[in-house]
Amino acid sequence: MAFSRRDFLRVTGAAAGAAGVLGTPLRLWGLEPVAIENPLGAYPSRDWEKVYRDAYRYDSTFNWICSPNCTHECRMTAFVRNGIVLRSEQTYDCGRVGDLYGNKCTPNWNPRGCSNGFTFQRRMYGPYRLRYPLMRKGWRAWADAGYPELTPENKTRYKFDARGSDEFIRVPWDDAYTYVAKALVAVAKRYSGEEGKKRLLAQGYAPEMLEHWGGAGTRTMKFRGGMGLLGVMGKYGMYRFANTLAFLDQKVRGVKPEETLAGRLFSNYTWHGDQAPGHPFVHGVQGADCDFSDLRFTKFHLHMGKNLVENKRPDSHWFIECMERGAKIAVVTPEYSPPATKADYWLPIRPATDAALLLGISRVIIDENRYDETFVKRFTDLPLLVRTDTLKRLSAADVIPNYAPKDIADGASMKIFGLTPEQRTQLGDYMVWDRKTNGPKPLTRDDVGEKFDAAGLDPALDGAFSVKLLDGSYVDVMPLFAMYRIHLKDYDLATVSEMTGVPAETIQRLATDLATIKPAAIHIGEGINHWFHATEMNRATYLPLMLTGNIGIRGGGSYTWAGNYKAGIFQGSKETGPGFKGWIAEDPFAPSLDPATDGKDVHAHAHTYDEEVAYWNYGDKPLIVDTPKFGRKCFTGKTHLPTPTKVLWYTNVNLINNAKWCYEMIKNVNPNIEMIISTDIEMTASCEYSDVVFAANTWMESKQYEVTASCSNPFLQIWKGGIDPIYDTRDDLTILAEQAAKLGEVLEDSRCADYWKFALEGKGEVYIQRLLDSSTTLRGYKFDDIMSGKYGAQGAVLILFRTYPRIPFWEQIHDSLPFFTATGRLQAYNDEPETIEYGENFIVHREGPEATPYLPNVIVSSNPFIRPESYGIPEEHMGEGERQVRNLRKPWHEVKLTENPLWKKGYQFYCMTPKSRHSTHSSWQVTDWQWIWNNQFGDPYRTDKRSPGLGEHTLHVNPQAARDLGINDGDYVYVDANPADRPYVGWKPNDPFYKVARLMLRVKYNPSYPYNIVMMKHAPFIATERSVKAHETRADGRALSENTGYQASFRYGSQQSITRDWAMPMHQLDTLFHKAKAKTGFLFGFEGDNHGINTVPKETLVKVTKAENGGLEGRGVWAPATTGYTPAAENEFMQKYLAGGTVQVKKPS
Amino acid sequence: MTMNLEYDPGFLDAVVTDALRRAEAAGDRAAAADLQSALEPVYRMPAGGARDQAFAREQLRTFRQLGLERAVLAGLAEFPELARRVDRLILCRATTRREEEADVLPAEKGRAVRLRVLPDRLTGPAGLVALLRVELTRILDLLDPEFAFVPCGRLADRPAEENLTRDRYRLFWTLSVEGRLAAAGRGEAGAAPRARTELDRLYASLPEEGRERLFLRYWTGPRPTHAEIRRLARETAAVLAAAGLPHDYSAHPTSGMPCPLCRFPAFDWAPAPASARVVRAVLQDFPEWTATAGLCGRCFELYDRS
Repeated sequence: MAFSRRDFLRVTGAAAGAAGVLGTPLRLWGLEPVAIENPLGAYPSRDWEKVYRDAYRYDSTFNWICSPNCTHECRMTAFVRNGIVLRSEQTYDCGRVGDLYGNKCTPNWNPRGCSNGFTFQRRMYGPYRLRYPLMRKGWRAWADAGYPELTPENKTRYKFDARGSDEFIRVPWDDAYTYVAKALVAVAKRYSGEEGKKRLLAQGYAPEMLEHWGGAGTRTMKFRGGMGLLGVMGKYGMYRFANTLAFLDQKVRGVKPEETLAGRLFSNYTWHGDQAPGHPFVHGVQGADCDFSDLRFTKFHLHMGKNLVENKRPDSHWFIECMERGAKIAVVTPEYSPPATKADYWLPIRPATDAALLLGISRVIIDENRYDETFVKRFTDLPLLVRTDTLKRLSAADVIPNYAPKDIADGASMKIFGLTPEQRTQLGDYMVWDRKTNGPKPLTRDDVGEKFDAAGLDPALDGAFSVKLLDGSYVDVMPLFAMYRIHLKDYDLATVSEMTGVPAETIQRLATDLATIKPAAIHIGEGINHWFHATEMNRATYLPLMLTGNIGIRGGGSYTWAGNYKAGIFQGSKETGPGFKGWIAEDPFAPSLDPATDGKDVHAHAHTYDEEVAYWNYGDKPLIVDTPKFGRKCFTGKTHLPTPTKVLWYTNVNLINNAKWCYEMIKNVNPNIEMIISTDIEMTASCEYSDVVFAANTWMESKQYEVTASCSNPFLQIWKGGIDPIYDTRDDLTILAEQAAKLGEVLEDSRCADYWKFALEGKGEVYIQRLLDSSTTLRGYKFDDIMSGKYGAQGAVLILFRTYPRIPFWEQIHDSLPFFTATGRLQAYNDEPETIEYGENFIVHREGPEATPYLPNVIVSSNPFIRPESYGIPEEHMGEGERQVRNLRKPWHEVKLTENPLWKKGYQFYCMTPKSRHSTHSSWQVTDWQWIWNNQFGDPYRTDKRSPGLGEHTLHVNPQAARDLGINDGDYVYVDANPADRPYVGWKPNDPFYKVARLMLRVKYNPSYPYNIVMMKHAPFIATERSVKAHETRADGRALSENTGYQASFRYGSQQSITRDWAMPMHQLDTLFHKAKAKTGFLFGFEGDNHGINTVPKETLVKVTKAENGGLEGRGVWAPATTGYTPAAENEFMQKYLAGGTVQVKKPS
Repeated sequence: MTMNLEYDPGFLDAVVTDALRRAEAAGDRAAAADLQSALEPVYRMPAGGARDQAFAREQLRTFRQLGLERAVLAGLAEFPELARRVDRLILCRATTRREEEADVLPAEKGRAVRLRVLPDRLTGPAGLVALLRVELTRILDLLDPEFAFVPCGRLADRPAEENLTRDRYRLFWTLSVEGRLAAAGRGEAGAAPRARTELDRLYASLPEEGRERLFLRYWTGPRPTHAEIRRLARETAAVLAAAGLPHDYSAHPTSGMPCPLCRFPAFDWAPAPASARVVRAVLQDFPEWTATAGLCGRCFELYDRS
């Protein structure tokens, strides 16, 4: 025990006699008053003020962009003294930012920034910074041994199966590049050709995983530029690196350039679970989001599973302005959430039943004839006829002999939006029942709005008709609208109230408001998108808006703003050039080496292929289930199929930390990966579990220009750092370019360096200019003009959207252009073969495969036009794959009698995992102040030494539920999920890794949460083997890893201990027709971040059990909970205060 | 050899302030006014060591003037041997009852003992003497070569088990200390039932007769060594032996005890007895485990599935 003598003052009898020297007392009473007319002018000395002025003195400033994945991209000014950034504040210049045509931005976007940006320098200078490249000792030994195949023995010898307990060593940059380049060559050789195929199959990979392998070992290499829009050069540049591997493939396999196959591009938006996966089903676009400023135009704002009070900090004022401008606000959340406190009314909903609620509302709107018939007929698929036999839309070719599709070559679909003749043929034309002629009439996908009016049709919305098919037989057809009347019979108010827990009268009120107040908008977020059946909930948000015409207008629509995904801002077209693709997929065999090349003339050729990270997360395999009826069946569409993962390189993302089911990845999946590279600015768990760590410059240190934009504001922004790198770190763009050049050295192929010529020369702005030139939204802007401030603010311009604020589908409604769906209309119905097979042709409510008290994954419907395939899987089979793919349809009165066996075993808590106010996903999680603010247990002194650091991650629990479990406010608890596979498959009590992986955290009583719902903020820094060892052995108990300096947010486990990866069949269609994300064109099936698996961390049920007492050092009750001032333990005074009884105003007599 | 009695200024400040508050509440403001007047010039002094010393001097003067030191000196008078073994005794402020304890400090020269005391021990009804008796007896144990004290940081292998182990460690030493004080007629009223209650709480899984034997063994028996106390705190086998129970006696698990399989402290134990199927499954991974040792709910679920 350390004990300093300085802490004590000797005051024994002997010492007490030694008097110190006393100062002379001031004789204040002797002063006479002095008359001073101007105190500021006459004050004898103001030198003291200098102290305060000096505190804010600076030598220089520079602008930078705070660019985490929060969707805001705030312009900040850093203030520098003696080369050190002292502080940052917002630039206040939004009102000056303009566009090519002289439009200026509203100054109301000011102020920008939040406490994250204001404290970024604390991260940059902080203790967790990466300072130089690192390499795992075992991995280097493996490399030095010649990169041998990972046999079970080699996995252990070189600690591929124990990365968490290995040691990191510093390596020079050139050494790191050389080792990596040689590893790429070794892996490419090992897994190419017939020998490679044999190896992969022998290692147990499913044969389907070779679909996109194509004989190339490079296809086992996965690259992720983390939320690339946050830094299009350095982050999305990762995909350019993947394309560089075409040279490697050519060298290894000796194929022609056009036959080379390069790496696979891991997704971002979908991987985060941020996408609203139903969007492409409804309107054909990856995601539709307005600018935040559009909230000003809204008159009815429906807030579903979103939190625009606690989150979206720089822009949450737009929500508050809704109120100031008189909009009515309704909030749908399971808990009494921060926005619920601001709402006119709140709808407390059972988690994941939002689709049922919205279907109930739609039924009210239809039953009460409150729908906008004109809008429905002009812009939606509700008038289109559907065959009652096949459940497919009636095609004109079904009933009109020798039907020749109408020539629409000059229409918008083909002329503007890039529909190809082949796609046009494949889609065909659709039919409506024309009441004027009392017969079926064809429609093309261009026949919307005024073009539909011009056709002179009067389509029936109700009725059933018989049509004669080409073979002479007759089939019943119905307008979709009429079928919805049948479908919605299952969603009457009383039933929906039972399903959702929302009172019937409140549902009625919401339906009335949506039907009568216009414009109305629905804002959703991760709250909905993180459920297995998010697709249905997303589709359902559009149904009432389609019925009421609230699409494509100011203040209307359905939006998410979850994740900054809009690569489409850099949209390519035949008029402008390849756009985004010109940067990430410039043809490596024909790169433009002239800096003056117009971006339009850049030749793009992607040798890469997208891949959803979710398959790695699913055990590095697709969704394959042995079914009783069809035997082994792969539910992953061919276009989606993953390849085996042998190399994994990510930048700017905490991939492993934020992986759902991360301990499964660490334990069972990653030991099969031969090289994991993490590029980051801080030591994260993802770095700890890597083989090579590249240390990157921060936004304030970058030496080359970077560019970013946002899904929620109109700014394109370019910047570079204003201080020299503090450590031996490099720009992420430079790291990519230098790694590519080193690969070229190893391959003796100078084309690798040529491909990165301008980045290697420090002239990345050449690529930025090309990006501007070749994007539909930016052509005309010049890099130099932007940086000189020509458009009002240095480094910023307005993106050339059709409207400010950006209004999705404005053109569709006002210019009568088709939507991006197969029908060209907003779709309430999907007739892809898989969709019909899965019973989701109609928008329908399904219970989740795990997070439900009822039969997992049941379709709640009695609609005869939903005919799902169960594959013969019995109801009682509860394997995870079986639960995911089994499609059973039951009406609610039957569903409510069923029971989820997991629920029966006591797993009776839904676990909400929303964003934190004080972090951006995992960024800033352990930054000192943020960590202290982030929870109720923040303590800079760490009085309770059990705390992993300056704070504790927290589980919010309903007080009564906690008490029923014997849990006091502030206790530590275990949170466990399905023991079948969590925290990882094959866990055992005696496995030391189980101790690392089991979640333990603090409980906070929170009466705003209903009984069966707990909440834990997402993406804290996970416990790792090193952090647990540190916590258990360090004298101070901190979870601060030895050797790496990694700081965990937990003592044991993490949020990801209770999550797992799910492979939703509806996210894996080959036949979904939709818009390509970053060019004017269409595709069927998979595209990364567009149509693919959207991860769903909320799909879990948990059990909560007490672990330790919450009192100091584990004794008694956590002290604040005994004060009488905490929720559910209020003393008499507090109760009086809450009842408003502490202040009484007497009326004047 | 003499022992210096020293006071931490924070302790003095807290005790004097508390005593003056009580006096003022009883209508006596004289001492408060006297101190206030004495501190008036001290407040005008520039911040620094001299000012701090002056504050401390005045508070010590008041401390003595109020007769608060008498209780300290009276308590120390019962331990003349302490002055022979210790050079400095430093009284510090405790903020909770649990913090009230004595430690031997590593000192540059001489031997120092720090005693943390709640201020109301001197000003309120709680009284100081009983605390001094227990804590100073403990200090004498600690300084006795035959006790063979070995400084130890953590007692348990895992932080999760630390609290329980430390509570047990404290229990056995307290039993011995208070038992000896009781035998010498200096025990505190109610100490025996209190200690017995604590033993019952920490060893609820043992049968009543075993707990009684344990209690008697350490309340009335010879003083254990430090090593024995540590062993008792950490090892169930040592407790079973001391309680006269067979070494394979399986206790019903206690809330907060580590699960014998996963070693996580558990409040949620599986219902006993486990089915034969579960027992067979557990034994495959844990051949040494016996069903009567129990298992936590989470481990039960795992083996219940298999």
